[in-house]
Amino acid sequence: MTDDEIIDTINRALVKEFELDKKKMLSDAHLFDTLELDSLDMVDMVIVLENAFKFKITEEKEIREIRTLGDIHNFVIKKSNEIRKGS
Amino acid sequence: MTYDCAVIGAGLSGLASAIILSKNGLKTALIEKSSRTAPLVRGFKREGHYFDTGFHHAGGINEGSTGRLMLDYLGISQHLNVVSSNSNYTDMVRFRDSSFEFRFPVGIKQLKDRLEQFFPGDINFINRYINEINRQCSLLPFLNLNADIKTMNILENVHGNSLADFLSHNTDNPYLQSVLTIHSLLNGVPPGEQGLNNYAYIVGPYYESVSYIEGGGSALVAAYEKAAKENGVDIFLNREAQKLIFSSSGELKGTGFKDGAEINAKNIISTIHPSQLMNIVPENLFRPSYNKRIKTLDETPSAFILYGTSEIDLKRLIGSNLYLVPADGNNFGDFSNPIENRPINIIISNADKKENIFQCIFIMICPASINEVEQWGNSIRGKRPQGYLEFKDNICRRMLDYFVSYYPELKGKIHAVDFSTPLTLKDYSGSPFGSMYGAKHRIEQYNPFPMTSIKGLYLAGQSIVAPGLLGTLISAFLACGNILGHDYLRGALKVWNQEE
Repeated sequence: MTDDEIIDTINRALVKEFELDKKKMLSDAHLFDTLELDSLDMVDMVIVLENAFKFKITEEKEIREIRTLGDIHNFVIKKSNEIRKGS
Repeated sequence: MTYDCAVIGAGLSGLASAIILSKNGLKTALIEKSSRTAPLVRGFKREGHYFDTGFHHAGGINEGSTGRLMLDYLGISQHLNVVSSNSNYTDMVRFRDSSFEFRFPVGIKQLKDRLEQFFPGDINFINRYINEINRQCSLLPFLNLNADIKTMNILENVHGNSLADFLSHNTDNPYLQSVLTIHSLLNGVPPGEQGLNNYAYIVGPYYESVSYIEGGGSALVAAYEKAAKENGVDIFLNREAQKLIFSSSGELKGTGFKDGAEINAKNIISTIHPSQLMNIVPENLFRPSYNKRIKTLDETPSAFILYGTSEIDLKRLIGSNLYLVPADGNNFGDFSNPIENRPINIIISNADKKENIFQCIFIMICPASINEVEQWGNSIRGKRPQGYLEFKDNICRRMLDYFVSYYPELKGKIHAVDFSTPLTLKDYSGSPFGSMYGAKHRIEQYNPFPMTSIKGLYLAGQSIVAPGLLGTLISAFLACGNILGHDYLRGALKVWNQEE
């Protein structure tokens, strides 16, 4: 999967599972201020990502630091690269 | 009617939540759909004997424990006679394939010594196991009043090792594996799905102490009710919350009933099964991902429960609590297995004399699935068809035979007085699945938190934190902590402790 494909998969999954506005799905969109998610949504975000990419997310600290949609993109791209290198 | 808070569901979590809120000056309504509070825990009488249901004994409520502190704070202990087990052991595990049996001593240090004595080849691992149980317990806020709520590692726990994996990597001894997984029956999560953290929350306090309550569940509920009244909780019985009501600006306003009556409250704690909550919340209020997660939570097993009497003194023969382990171990997740291959828990209560014949009471619990009785699922209690009654008789007879196969001296001496199936549990527990302990607290499952994304709506109950009396208490304190402030509430408990 290319980086663009990863970003597209993330955005589509989040739009569907959180009923977000497609037009607001920009990488600098703030999850809480712009996309109107809250900290409780983060668990469901982890589940959505785990299902979409078939990996397990255990990086508690990194997840807690996520603030923008771009942070999610970067997290998944980095994790996918690590998995690819590891396999 | 206008209240500061409403609590939906008057089980033990609901009663505890309502008392905490009322005690702290918030006008609180407690709403229950049944005609009595905590119907599952009240027990029943048959043939002159009292049988407990739902509550039998509890870990972590002995003198000096956090659980007891909570019961003291709620004003419940003063109405109860809590009897902490002072015998040398509480639980006995007996194995099918040999004469091997293990008796759990009271106290975690004593358990460590006993394990080392029985399993001298596994001393290093036993040490590690006990340390890990202690460590996990120290991390749970309200079990440890000084633990930091913000540092709980949710993701690490969800994807952590299973108890079965942890044991199989560290010991080859099947008896040790069974002894250290047998209490999985107490939270209804098979060892292969049981996370170490959740297991620790159950066994940590339980290894330390096991307490009984004089008068059983019936006395326990009576004490909760007294404390609720003393603290000014308004209890509404025969009232089923049909919907949550929101203002035009989307703020939580209260809850409404079938007859159109409403209770206004800006804070609501729901203690009903999370999947049932979704039926009273307007559809679009939670995000689709949360809706899906809550509706598809994996459930703990239901049970076949035999209520019996024995002409032989089981207390003397066995003790208070017995676990029968089948030849292939403790795993109880596969219900295509016949009942004879499932682990069974037998709770033995005090003997009494009836018509000059010595009789001892026992309750035998065999994990089961609602699917095993689903063909009769639409029938009504008291009017079930003949096929169901025959099925029940058959399982009941086999459970007695199962008991006798481990203790041949009981042949002809034990008798069934009553028998319940998952359909019975479904009627009494409020769980659509007849599950004993609500949603499973297992690895790879994210249970709902006490707080929700709806401002003012909080959750408590066994699906949220853990089952058991202690689980319901911690869950109530966590839910109320969101309204009153966690630091404030934990501080109040600490101060209470010092003053008492």
